Amino acid sequence: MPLSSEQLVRLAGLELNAINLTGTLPDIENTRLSSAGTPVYDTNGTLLFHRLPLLRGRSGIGYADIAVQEIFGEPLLAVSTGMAWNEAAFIKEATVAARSKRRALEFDSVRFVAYSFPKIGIQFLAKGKETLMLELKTWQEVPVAAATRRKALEPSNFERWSFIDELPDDVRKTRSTAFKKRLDVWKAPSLTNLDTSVVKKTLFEIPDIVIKLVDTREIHYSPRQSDHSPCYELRGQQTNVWCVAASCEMLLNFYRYQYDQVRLAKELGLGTCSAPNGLPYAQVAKVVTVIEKLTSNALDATMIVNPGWAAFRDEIKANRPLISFVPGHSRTVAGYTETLITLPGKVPFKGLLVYDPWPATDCAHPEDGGVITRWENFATQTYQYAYSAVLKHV
Amino acid sequence: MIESGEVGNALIRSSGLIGEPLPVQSPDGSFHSWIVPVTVGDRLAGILRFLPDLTFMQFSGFQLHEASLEGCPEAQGWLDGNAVRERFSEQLRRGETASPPFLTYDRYPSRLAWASELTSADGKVRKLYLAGRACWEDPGSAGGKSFG
Repeated sequence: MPLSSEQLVRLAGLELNAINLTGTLPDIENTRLSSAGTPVYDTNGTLLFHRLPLLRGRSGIGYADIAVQEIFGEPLLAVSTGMAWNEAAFIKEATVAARSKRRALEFDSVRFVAYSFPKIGIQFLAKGKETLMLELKTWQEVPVAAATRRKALEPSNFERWSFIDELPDDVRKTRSTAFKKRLDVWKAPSLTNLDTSVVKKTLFEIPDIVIKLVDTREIHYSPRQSDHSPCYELRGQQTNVWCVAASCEMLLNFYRYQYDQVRLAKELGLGTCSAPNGLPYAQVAKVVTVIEKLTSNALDATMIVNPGWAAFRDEIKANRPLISFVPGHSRTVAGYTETLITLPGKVPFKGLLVYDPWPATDCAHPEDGGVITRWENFATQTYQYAYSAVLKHV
Repeated sequence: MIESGEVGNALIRSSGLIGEPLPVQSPDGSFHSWIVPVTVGDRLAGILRFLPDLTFMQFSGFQLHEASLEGCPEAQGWLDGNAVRERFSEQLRRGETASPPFLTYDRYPSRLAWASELTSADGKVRKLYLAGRACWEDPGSAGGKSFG
Protein backbone atom coordinates (compact mmCIF):
# COMPACT_ATOMS: atom_id res chain seq x y z
CA MET A 1 0.00 0.00 0.00
CA PRO A 2 1.43 3.39 -0.92
CA LEU A 3 2.65 5.53 1.95
CA SER A 4 0.79 8.68 2.88
CA SER A 5 2.68 11.98 2.78
CA GLU A 6 3.06 11.95 6.56
CA GLN A 7 4.35 8.37 6.54
CA LEU A 8 6.81 9.22 3.80
CA VAL A 9 8.23 12.23 5.62
CA ARG A 10 8.51 10.19 8.78
CA LEU A 11 10.29 7.36 6.98
CA ALA A 12 12.67 9.86 5.43
CA GLY A 13 13.32 11.39 8.85
CA LEU A 14 14.14 8.03 10.40
CA GLU A 15 16.42 7.05 7.55
CA LEU A 16 18.25 10.37 7.49
CA ASN A 17 18.71 10.44 11.24
CA ALA A 18 20.07 6.91 11.17
CA ILE A 19 22.54 7.48 8.38
CA ASN A 20 23.57 10.79 9.92
CA LEU A 21 24.43 8.92 13.10
CA THR A 22 26.77 6.59 11.24
CA GLY A 23 28.81 9.57 10.05
CA THR A 24 28.90 8.34 6.45
CA LEU A 25 27.32 11.47 5.00
CA PRO A 26 28.37 15.06 4.58
CA ASP A 27 27.01 17.39 7.22
CA ILE A 28 23.21 17.16 7.35
CA GLU A 29 22.96 17.80 11.08
CA ASN A 30 20.09 20.13 11.98
CA THR A 31 18.45 19.91 8.59
CA ARG A 32 14.71 19.31 8.37
CA LEU A 33 12.17 17.90 5.95
CA SER A 34 9.24 20.16 5.28
CA SER A 35 7.10 18.10 2.93
CA ALA A 36 6.82 14.88 0.98
CA GLY A 37 8.45 16.76 -1.85
CA THR A 38 8.26 15.80 -5.47
CA PRO A 39 6.91 12.48 -6.72
CA VAL A 40 9.13 10.97 -9.40
CA TYR A 41 7.70 8.38 -11.76
CA ASP A 42 9.06 5.52 -13.79
CA THR A 43 8.70 5.81 -17.58
CA ASN A 44 5.92 3.19 -17.33
CA GLY A 45 3.91 5.60 -15.19
CA THR A 46 4.45 3.96 -11.80
CA LEU A 47 5.48 6.14 -8.86
CA LEU A 48 9.14 5.36 -8.08
CA PHE A 49 10.31 7.67 -5.31
CA HIS A 50 9.88 11.07 -3.72
CA ARG A 51 12.50 13.78 -3.72
CA LEU A 52 12.28 15.67 -0.43
CA PRO A 53 13.91 19.06 0.00
CA LEU A 54 16.35 19.38 2.90
CA LEU A 55 16.21 22.71 4.69
CA ARG A 56 18.44 24.34 7.22
CA GLY A 57 16.55 27.25 8.68
CA ARG A 58 14.74 28.64 5.65
CA SER A 59 17.45 27.77 3.18
CA GLY A 60 17.37 24.71 0.99
CA ILE A 61 20.66 22.80 1.25
CA GLY A 62 19.87 19.69 -0.76
CA TYR A 63 17.46 16.81 -1.03
CA ALA A 64 16.86 13.19 -0.15
CA ASP A 65 15.32 10.56 -2.41
CA ILE A 66 13.02 8.13 -0.62
CA ALA A 67 11.83 5.01 -2.43
CA VAL A 68 8.20 4.13 -2.76
CA GLN A 69 8.90 0.91 -4.63
CA GLU A 70 10.21 -2.06 -2.66
CA ILE A 71 12.38 -3.13 -5.56
CA PHE A 72 14.96 -0.53 -4.56
CA GLY A 73 15.85 -2.68 -1.56
CA GLU A 74 16.26 0.24 0.81
CA PRO A 75 14.13 3.31 1.41
CA LEU A 76 16.90 5.90 1.31
CA LEU A 77 18.17 6.13 -2.26
CA ALA A 78 20.32 9.22 -2.22
CA VAL A 79 21.18 12.31 -0.28
CA SER A 80 22.54 15.31 -2.08
CA THR A 81 23.79 18.53 -0.57
CA GLY A 82 24.96 21.69 -2.28
CA MET A 83 21.97 22.23 -4.58
CA ALA A 84 18.57 23.18 -3.18
CA TRP A 85 15.55 21.30 -4.57
CA ASN A 86 12.88 23.72 -5.73
CA GLU A 87 10.18 21.90 -7.68
CA ALA A 88 8.22 25.00 -8.67
CA ALA A 89 11.32 26.77 -9.99
CA PHE A 90 12.32 23.74 -12.07
CA ILE A 91 8.83 23.47 -13.61
CA LYS A 92 8.89 27.17 -14.44
CA GLU A 93 12.30 26.84 -16.06
CA ALA A 94 11.24 23.72 -17.95
CA THR A 95 8.10 25.42 -19.23
CA VAL A 96 10.11 28.31 -20.63
CA ALA A 97 12.47 25.85 -22.33
CA ALA A 98 9.55 23.83 -23.70
CA ARG A 99 7.85 26.90 -25.12
CA SER A 100 11.05 27.96 -26.83
CA LYS A 101 11.24 24.54 -28.52
CA ARG A 102 7.55 24.25 -29.34
CA ARG A 103 5.58 27.45 -29.25
CA ALA A 104 2.28 25.60 -29.69
CA LEU A 105 2.94 22.93 -27.06
CA GLU A 106 -0.21 21.85 -25.32
CA PHE A 107 -0.24 20.36 -21.85
CA ASP A 108 -2.47 20.28 -18.82
CA SER A 109 -0.15 18.65 -16.32
CA VAL A 110 3.53 18.20 -15.59
CA ARG A 111 5.40 15.52 -13.68
CA PHE A 112 8.93 14.40 -12.94
CA VAL A 113 10.04 11.15 -14.54
CA ALA A 114 13.16 9.07 -13.97
CA TYR A 115 13.59 8.57 -17.71
CA SER A 116 16.85 6.71 -17.09
CA PHE A 117 17.10 6.20 -13.34
CA PRO A 118 18.55 8.15 -11.59
CA LYS A 119 18.44 10.74 -14.41
CA ILE A 120 15.32 12.83 -14.26
CA GLY A 121 13.24 14.64 -16.83
CA ILE A 122 10.13 16.79 -16.74
CA GLN A 123 7.22 15.35 -18.64
CA PHE A 124 4.49 17.53 -20.15
CA LEU A 125 1.14 15.78 -20.57
CA ALA A 126 -2.16 16.59 -22.21
CA LYS A 127 -5.12 14.48 -21.08
CA GLY A 128 -2.67 11.98 -19.60
CA LYS A 129 -0.62 11.61 -22.79
CA GLU A 130 2.94 12.87 -23.08
CA THR A 131 3.51 15.77 -25.42
CA LEU A 132 7.14 16.44 -24.52
CA MET A 133 9.82 15.38 -22.05
CA LEU A 134 12.88 17.49 -21.27
CA GLU A 135 15.90 16.42 -19.32
CA LEU A 136 16.19 18.29 -16.04
CA LYS A 137 18.50 21.29 -16.24
CA THR A 138 19.94 20.59 -19.71
CA TRP A 139 16.38 20.93 -21.12
CA GLN A 140 17.24 18.61 -23.97
CA GLU A 141 14.33 16.67 -25.40
CA VAL A 142 14.37 13.11 -24.12
CA PRO A 143 13.99 10.72 -27.06
CA VAL A 144 11.14 8.23 -27.09
CA ALA A 145 11.94 4.68 -25.99
CA ALA A 146 14.26 2.90 -28.41
CA ALA A 147 12.74 0.09 -30.43
CA THR A 148 15.98 -1.84 -30.72
CA ARG A 149 16.55 -4.82 -28.48
CA ARG A 150 19.43 -4.72 -26.04
CA LYS A 151 20.41 -6.37 -22.77
CA ALA A 152 18.40 -5.28 -19.74
CA LEU A 153 19.91 -2.47 -17.65
CA GLU A 154 22.42 -1.57 -20.34
CA PRO A 155 20.95 1.59 -21.83
CA SER A 156 22.89 4.07 -23.89
CA ASN A 157 23.89 7.35 -22.31
CA PHE A 158 20.76 9.26 -23.38
CA GLU A 159 17.94 6.78 -23.59
CA ARG A 160 14.50 6.46 -22.10
CA TRP A 161 13.92 3.16 -20.33
CA SER A 162 11.92 1.70 -17.47
CA PHE A 163 13.77 0.87 -14.27
CA ILE A 164 10.87 -1.23 -13.05
CA ASP A 165 10.42 -3.22 -16.25
CA GLU A 166 14.11 -3.97 -16.75
CA LEU A 167 14.97 -5.12 -13.24
CA PRO A 168 15.45 -8.92 -13.20
CA ASP A 169 12.91 -10.91 -11.20
CA ASP A 170 15.44 -12.42 -8.79
CA VAL A 171 16.87 -9.01 -7.92
CA ARG A 172 13.38 -7.64 -7.53
CA LYS A 173 12.51 -10.40 -5.08
CA THR A 174 15.66 -10.08 -2.97
CA ARG A 175 15.41 -6.34 -2.76
CA SER A 176 11.73 -6.40 -1.87
CA THR A 177 12.47 -8.68 1.06
CA ALA A 178 15.26 -6.37 2.24
CA PHE A 179 13.01 -3.35 1.90
CA LYS A 180 10.27 -4.91 4.00
CA LYS A 181 12.78 -5.89 6.67
CA ARG A 182 13.98 -2.31 6.89
CA LEU A 183 10.46 -0.98 7.24
CA ASP A 184 9.85 -3.47 10.03
CA VAL A 185 12.77 -1.97 11.96
CA TRP A 186 11.10 1.41 11.87
CA LYS A 187 7.79 0.00 13.04
CA ALA A 188 9.16 -0.67 16.52
CA PRO A 189 6.72 0.69 19.12
CA SER A 190 9.57 2.48 20.91
CA LEU A 191 10.02 4.73 17.88
CA THR A 192 6.40 5.73 17.57
CA ASN A 193 6.62 9.04 19.38
CA LEU A 194 10.01 10.08 18.07
CA ASP A 195 10.08 13.49 16.39
CA THR A 196 12.06 12.78 13.25
CA SER A 197 11.43 16.07 11.49
CA VAL A 198 14.90 17.40 12.32
CA VAL A 199 18.10 15.47 11.60
CA LYS A 200 20.18 15.35 14.74
CA LYS A 201 22.68 12.87 16.13
CA THR A 202 20.99 12.85 19.53
CA LEU A 203 17.68 11.56 18.21
CA PHE A 204 18.29 7.94 19.10
CA GLU A 205 19.95 8.69 22.43
CA ILE A 206 16.84 7.87 24.34
CA PRO A 207 16.59 5.24 27.06
CA ASP A 208 15.09 1.95 25.94
CA ILE A 209 15.58 2.76 22.28
CA VAL A 210 18.21 0.67 20.62
CA ILE A 211 18.75 1.16 16.92
CA LYS A 212 21.29 -1.21 15.47
CA LEU A 213 23.27 0.77 12.92
CA VAL A 214 26.52 -1.07 13.35
CA ASP A 215 27.26 -4.71 14.03
CA THR A 216 30.32 -4.80 16.27
CA ARG A 217 31.72 -7.61 18.31
CA GLU A 218 34.88 -8.30 20.25
CA ILE A 219 36.32 -11.38 21.85
CA HIS A 220 35.03 -11.74 25.40
CA TYR A 221 35.66 -14.08 28.27
CA SER A 222 32.59 -16.03 27.25
CA PRO A 223 30.27 -15.90 24.23
CA ARG A 224 27.90 -13.68 26.22
CA GLN A 225 28.57 -10.27 24.74
CA SER A 226 26.93 -8.42 27.61
CA ASP A 227 29.20 -9.86 30.31
CA HIS A 228 32.65 -8.76 31.38
CA SER A 229 35.14 -6.79 29.36
CA PRO A 230 36.87 -7.59 26.14
CA CYS A 231 39.32 -10.31 26.96
CA TYR A 232 42.31 -10.36 24.68
CA GLU A 233 45.91 -9.25 24.95
CA LEU A 234 48.56 -7.92 22.60
CA ARG A 235 51.99 -9.51 22.23
CA GLY A 236 54.75 -7.83 20.28
CA GLN A 237 56.95 -10.00 18.08
CA GLN A 238 60.34 -10.40 19.72
CA THR A 239 62.33 -10.38 16.50
CA ASN A 240 61.55 -8.73 13.20
CA VAL A 241 60.49 -12.11 11.75
CA TRP A 242 58.57 -13.75 14.59
CA CYS A 243 55.10 -12.52 13.74
CA VAL A 244 53.78 -16.07 13.53
CA ALA A 245 55.18 -16.97 16.94
CA ALA A 246 53.66 -13.82 18.45
CA SER A 247 50.33 -14.55 16.78
CA CYS A 248 50.30 -18.10 18.13
CA GLU A 249 51.21 -16.73 21.56
CA MET A 250 48.21 -14.39 21.50
CA LEU A 251 45.81 -17.09 20.42
CA LEU A 252 47.13 -19.59 22.96
CA ASN A 253 47.08 -16.99 25.74
CA PHE A 254 43.38 -16.49 25.09
CA TYR A 255 42.87 -20.17 25.88
CA ARG A 256 45.13 -19.78 28.98
CA TYR A 257 48.14 -21.59 27.56
CA GLN A 258 51.37 -19.87 28.52
CA TYR A 259 54.19 -20.48 26.06
CA ASP A 260 56.77 -17.81 25.51
CA GLN A 261 57.81 -16.81 22.04
CA VAL A 262 61.21 -18.44 22.26
CA ARG A 263 59.53 -21.80 22.81
CA LEU A 264 56.92 -21.15 20.15
CA ALA A 265 59.61 -20.10 17.69
CA LYS A 266 61.41 -23.36 18.35
CA GLU A 267 58.25 -25.38 17.74
CA LEU A 268 57.54 -23.46 14.54
CA GLY A 269 61.13 -23.71 13.33
CA LEU A 270 61.75 -19.97 13.50
CA GLY A 271 65.27 -20.09 14.97
CA THR A 272 66.44 -18.25 18.04
CA CYS A 273 66.48 -14.69 19.34
CA SER A 274 69.94 -14.15 17.89
CA ALA A 275 69.39 -16.08 14.65
CA PRO A 276 65.69 -15.83 13.83
CA ASN A 277 63.88 -16.61 10.60
CA GLY A 278 60.33 -16.24 9.29
CA LEU A 279 57.87 -19.03 8.56
CA PRO A 280 58.38 -20.16 4.96
CA TYR A 281 55.33 -19.93 2.72
CA ALA A 282 55.49 -23.66 2.13
CA GLN A 283 55.09 -24.33 5.85
CA VAL A 284 51.86 -22.48 6.58
CA ALA A 285 50.20 -25.70 7.78
CA LYS A 286 52.67 -25.83 10.66
CA VAL A 287 50.56 -23.36 12.60
CA VAL A 288 47.82 -25.98 12.87
CA THR A 289 50.11 -28.76 14.04
CA VAL A 290 51.90 -26.58 16.59
CA ILE A 291 48.68 -25.24 18.14
CA GLU A 292 47.27 -28.74 18.43
CA LYS A 293 50.50 -30.17 19.78
CA LEU A 294 50.99 -27.49 22.42
CA THR A 295 47.44 -27.89 23.66
CA SER A 296 47.63 -31.68 23.66
CA ASN A 297 44.88 -31.55 21.02
CA ALA A 298 42.50 -29.72 23.33
CA LEU A 299 42.30 -27.17 20.55
CA ASP A 300 41.20 -28.30 17.12
CA ALA A 301 42.90 -25.87 14.74
CA THR A 302 41.83 -25.24 11.17
CA MET A 303 43.50 -23.37 8.33
CA ILE A 304 41.20 -21.34 6.07
CA VAL A 305 42.59 -20.42 2.65
CA ASN A 306 41.60 -16.99 1.26
CA PRO A 307 39.24 -16.22 4.13
CA GLY A 308 36.34 -13.93 3.36
CA TRP A 309 34.53 -11.53 5.65
CA ALA A 310 32.10 -14.21 6.83
CA ALA A 311 34.93 -16.43 8.06
CA PHE A 312 36.21 -13.72 10.40
CA ARG A 313 32.76 -12.56 11.47
CA ASP A 314 31.46 -16.02 12.24
CA GLU A 315 34.50 -17.02 14.28
CA ILE A 316 34.34 -13.83 16.33
CA LYS A 317 30.64 -14.35 16.86
CA ALA A 318 31.55 -17.79 18.22
CA ASN A 319 33.99 -16.00 20.55
CA ARG A 320 37.07 -17.44 18.91
CA PRO A 321 40.04 -15.29 17.91
CA LEU A 322 41.81 -16.02 14.64
CA ILE A 323 45.33 -15.84 13.36
CA SER A 324 45.34 -13.92 10.08
CA PHE A 325 48.07 -14.17 7.45
CA VAL A 326 48.36 -11.25 5.04
CA PRO A 327 51.16 -11.01 2.49
CA GLY A 328 54.40 -11.46 4.42
CA HIS A 329 52.90 -10.96 7.84
CA SER A 330 50.78 -12.56 10.52
CA ARG A 331 48.50 -11.01 13.12
CA THR A 332 45.47 -12.01 15.15
CA VAL A 333 41.89 -10.85 14.81
CA ALA A 334 39.74 -10.35 17.89
CA GLY A 335 36.78 -8.33 16.68
CA TYR A 336 34.90 -6.84 13.79
CA THR A 337 32.62 -3.96 12.93
CA GLU A 338 30.25 -3.55 10.04
CA THR A 339 27.93 -0.66 9.25
CA LEU A 340 24.42 -1.93 8.62
CA ILE A 341 23.05 1.15 6.94
CA THR A 342 24.47 2.95 3.98
CA LEU A 343 23.34 4.47 0.72
CA PRO A 344 22.51 2.03 -2.08
CA GLY A 345 25.53 1.41 -4.23
CA LYS A 346 27.92 2.36 -1.43
CA VAL A 347 29.83 -0.45 0.19
CA PRO A 348 29.23 -0.60 3.94
CA PHE A 349 32.38 -0.22 6.00
CA LYS A 350 33.75 -3.48 7.27
CA GLY A 351 36.65 -3.42 9.67
CA LEU A 352 38.62 -5.94 11.69
CA LEU A 353 40.05 -5.47 15.15
CA VAL A 354 43.62 -6.62 14.61
CA TYR A 355 46.13 -7.35 17.35
CA ASP A 356 49.27 -6.81 15.33
CA PRO A 357 52.63 -7.92 16.76
CA TRP A 358 54.32 -5.31 14.56
CA PRO A 359 56.40 -3.23 15.27
CA ALA A 360 58.83 -5.66 16.78
CA THR A 361 60.43 -5.56 20.19
CA ASP A 362 63.33 -7.75 21.31
CA CYS A 363 63.68 -10.83 23.48
CA ALA A 364 64.84 -8.69 26.41
CA HIS A 365 61.63 -6.66 26.33
CA PRO A 366 58.78 -9.10 25.62
CA GLU A 367 56.26 -6.71 27.15
CA ASP A 368 56.82 -4.16 24.38
CA GLY A 369 55.93 -3.99 20.71
CA GLY A 370 52.81 -4.39 18.63
CA VAL A 371 49.77 -2.27 17.97
CA ILE A 372 46.05 -2.73 18.25
CA THR A 373 44.46 -1.78 14.95
CA ARG A 374 40.88 -0.73 15.40
CA TRP A 375 39.82 -0.83 12.60
CA GLU A 376 41.56 -2.35 9.59
CA ASN A 377 39.49 -1.60 6.49
CA PHE A 378 38.66 -5.05 5.16
CA ALA A 379 38.49 -3.70 1.62
CA THR A 380 42.12 -2.55 1.60
CA GLN A 381 43.86 -5.75 2.72
CA THR A 382 44.57 -9.13 1.15
CA TYR A 383 43.75 -12.04 3.42
CA GLN A 384 45.68 -15.17 2.49
CA TYR A 385 45.13 -17.57 5.37
CA ALA A 386 43.27 -17.58 8.64
CA TYR A 387 43.51 -20.05 11.49
CA SER A 388 40.78 -20.74 13.95
CA ALA A 389 40.93 -22.98 16.97
CA VAL A 390 37.96 -24.69 18.52
CA LEU A 391 38.10 -25.93 22.07
CA LYS A 392 37.11 -29.56 22.12
CA HIS A 393 34.35 -30.37 24.55
CA VAL A 394 33.84 -33.69 26.24
CA MET B 1 37.28 10.33 12.43
CA ILE B 2 38.74 10.65 15.90
CA GLU B 3 36.32 13.33 16.97
CA SER B 4 33.31 11.35 15.78
CA GLY B 5 34.51 8.32 17.75
CA GLU B 6 34.98 6.13 14.68
CA VAL B 7 38.55 5.47 15.80
CA GLY B 8 40.57 6.18 18.91
CA ASN B 9 39.21 6.55 22.43
CA ALA B 10 38.39 9.16 25.06
CA LEU B 11 42.03 9.86 25.96
CA ILE B 12 42.99 10.39 22.34
CA ARG B 13 39.95 12.57 21.71
CA SER B 14 40.66 14.78 24.69
CA SER B 15 44.46 14.98 24.56
CA GLY B 16 45.58 13.69 21.18
CA LEU B 17 47.42 15.91 18.77
CA ILE B 18 47.17 15.14 15.05
CA GLY B 19 50.61 15.40 13.44
CA GLU B 20 51.70 16.20 9.92
CA PRO B 21 51.02 13.40 7.44
CA LEU B 22 54.10 11.41 6.48
CA PRO B 23 54.41 9.70 3.10
CA VAL B 24 55.27 6.01 3.07
CA GLN B 25 57.41 4.87 0.14
CA SER B 26 57.28 1.45 -1.44
CA PRO B 27 60.63 -0.31 -1.49
CA ASP B 28 60.88 0.69 -5.17
CA GLY B 29 60.61 4.34 -4.16
CA SER B 30 57.06 4.96 -5.35
CA PHE B 31 54.46 6.55 -3.08
CA HIS B 32 52.46 3.92 -1.24
CA SER B 33 50.37 5.53 1.49
CA TRP B 34 50.10 8.24 4.12
CA ILE B 35 50.43 7.86 7.83
CA VAL B 36 49.06 10.47 10.16
CA PRO B 37 50.50 10.26 13.67
CA VAL B 38 48.49 10.97 16.79
CA THR B 39 50.58 11.97 19.80
CA VAL B 40 49.70 12.54 23.42
CA GLY B 41 52.47 14.51 25.10
CA ASP B 42 55.77 12.95 24.03
CA ARG B 43 54.18 9.58 23.24
CA LEU B 44 52.98 8.16 19.95
CA ALA B 45 49.46 6.99 20.76
CA GLY B 46 48.43 5.83 17.32
CA ILE B 47 48.73 6.05 13.59
CA LEU B 48 46.07 6.60 10.97
CA ARG B 49 46.92 5.19 7.57
CA PHE B 50 45.42 6.12 4.21
CA LEU B 51 45.93 5.05 0.61
CA PRO B 52 47.00 7.77 -1.85
CA ASP B 53 43.34 8.41 -2.78
CA LEU B 54 42.73 8.92 0.96
CA THR B 55 40.84 5.65 1.39
CA PHE B 56 41.05 4.81 5.08
CA MET B 57 43.27 1.79 5.65
CA GLN B 58 43.52 1.52 9.40
CA PHE B 59 43.97 3.12 12.77
CA SER B 60 46.61 1.41 14.87
CA GLY B 61 46.89 2.33 18.52
CA PHE B 62 49.83 1.60 20.79
CA GLN B 63 47.87 1.95 24.04
CA LEU B 64 47.53 -1.26 26.01
CA HIS B 65 44.73 0.30 28.06
CA GLU B 66 42.35 2.97 26.89
CA ALA B 67 42.87 5.26 29.85
CA SER B 68 46.67 5.23 29.91
CA LEU B 69 49.66 5.64 27.64
CA GLU B 70 51.21 2.35 28.69
CA GLY B 71 52.57 0.66 25.61
CA CYS B 72 53.03 3.89 23.66
CA PRO B 73 56.56 4.48 22.37
CA GLU B 74 58.33 7.81 22.46
CA ALA B 75 57.06 9.82 19.52
CA GLN B 76 60.48 11.05 18.47
CA GLY B 77 61.67 7.49 17.82
CA TRP B 78 59.08 7.29 15.03
CA LEU B 79 58.54 10.87 13.95
CA ASP B 80 61.72 12.84 14.50
CA GLY B 81 63.99 12.47 11.48
CA ASN B 82 67.07 13.41 13.49
CA ALA B 83 66.36 10.83 16.17
CA VAL B 84 65.85 8.18 13.50
CA ARG B 85 69.08 9.22 11.75
CA GLU B 86 70.85 8.91 15.09
CA ARG B 87 69.61 5.34 15.50
CA PHE B 88 70.88 4.43 12.04
CA SER B 89 74.25 6.08 12.65
CA GLU B 90 74.70 3.77 15.65
CA GLN B 91 74.68 0.89 13.17
CA LEU B 92 77.39 2.30 10.89
CA ARG B 93 80.46 0.22 10.32
CA ARG B 94 83.84 1.80 9.83
CA GLY B 95 83.88 3.84 6.63
CA GLU B 96 80.12 3.60 6.00
CA THR B 97 77.85 6.55 5.32
CA ALA B 98 74.07 6.51 5.72
CA SER B 99 71.48 7.94 3.33
CA PRO B 100 68.74 10.12 4.80
CA PRO B 101 66.20 7.80 6.40
CA PHE B 102 62.83 7.35 4.74
CA LEU B 103 59.58 5.81 5.88
CA THR B 104 58.81 2.60 4.02
CA TYR B 105 58.10 -1.03 4.74
CA ASP B 106 60.08 -4.23 4.75
CA ARG B 107 58.73 -6.16 1.75
CA TYR B 108 55.06 -5.93 2.79
CA PRO B 109 53.01 -2.84 3.66
CA SER B 110 52.03 -4.20 7.05
CA ARG B 111 55.72 -4.16 8.10
CA LEU B 112 56.03 -0.39 8.41
CA ALA B 113 59.58 0.75 9.13
CA TRP B 114 62.17 3.43 8.58
CA ALA B 115 64.95 2.54 6.19
CA SER B 116 68.37 3.89 5.32
CA GLU B 117 70.96 2.74 2.83
CA LEU B 118 74.43 2.39 4.27
CA THR B 119 77.26 2.66 1.79
CA SER B 120 80.76 1.42 2.56
CA ALA B 121 83.98 3.04 1.36
CA ASP B 122 84.27 0.48 -1.46
CA GLY B 123 80.72 1.25 -2.64
CA LYS B 124 78.87 -1.73 -1.17
CA VAL B 125 75.35 -0.89 -0.10
CA ARG B 126 73.27 -2.52 2.60
CA LYS B 127 69.80 -1.47 3.60
CA LEU B 128 68.80 -1.26 7.22
CA TYR B 129 65.30 -1.14 8.66
CA LEU B 130 64.22 0.28 11.94
CA ALA B 131 60.86 -0.24 13.67
CA GLY B 132 60.42 0.17 17.37
CA ARG B 133 63.21 -1.59 19.19
CA ALA B 134 64.09 -3.73 16.20
CA CYS B 135 66.78 -2.87 13.68
CA TRP B 136 67.66 -5.34 10.94
CA GLU B 137 69.31 -5.68 7.61
CA ASP B 138 67.26 -6.10 4.46
CA PRO B 139 67.11 -9.87 3.91
CA GLY B 140 66.85 -9.34 0.16
CA SER B 141 65.23 -12.06 -1.88
CA ALA B 142 65.87 -14.64 0.84
CA GLY B 143 63.38 -12.98 3.15
CA GLY B 144 60.66 -12.59 0.59
CA LYS B 145 59.18 -16.05 0.86
CA SER B 146 58.26 -16.15 4.48
CA PHE B 147 55.79 -14.74 6.96
CA GLY B 148 57.37 -12.59 9.61
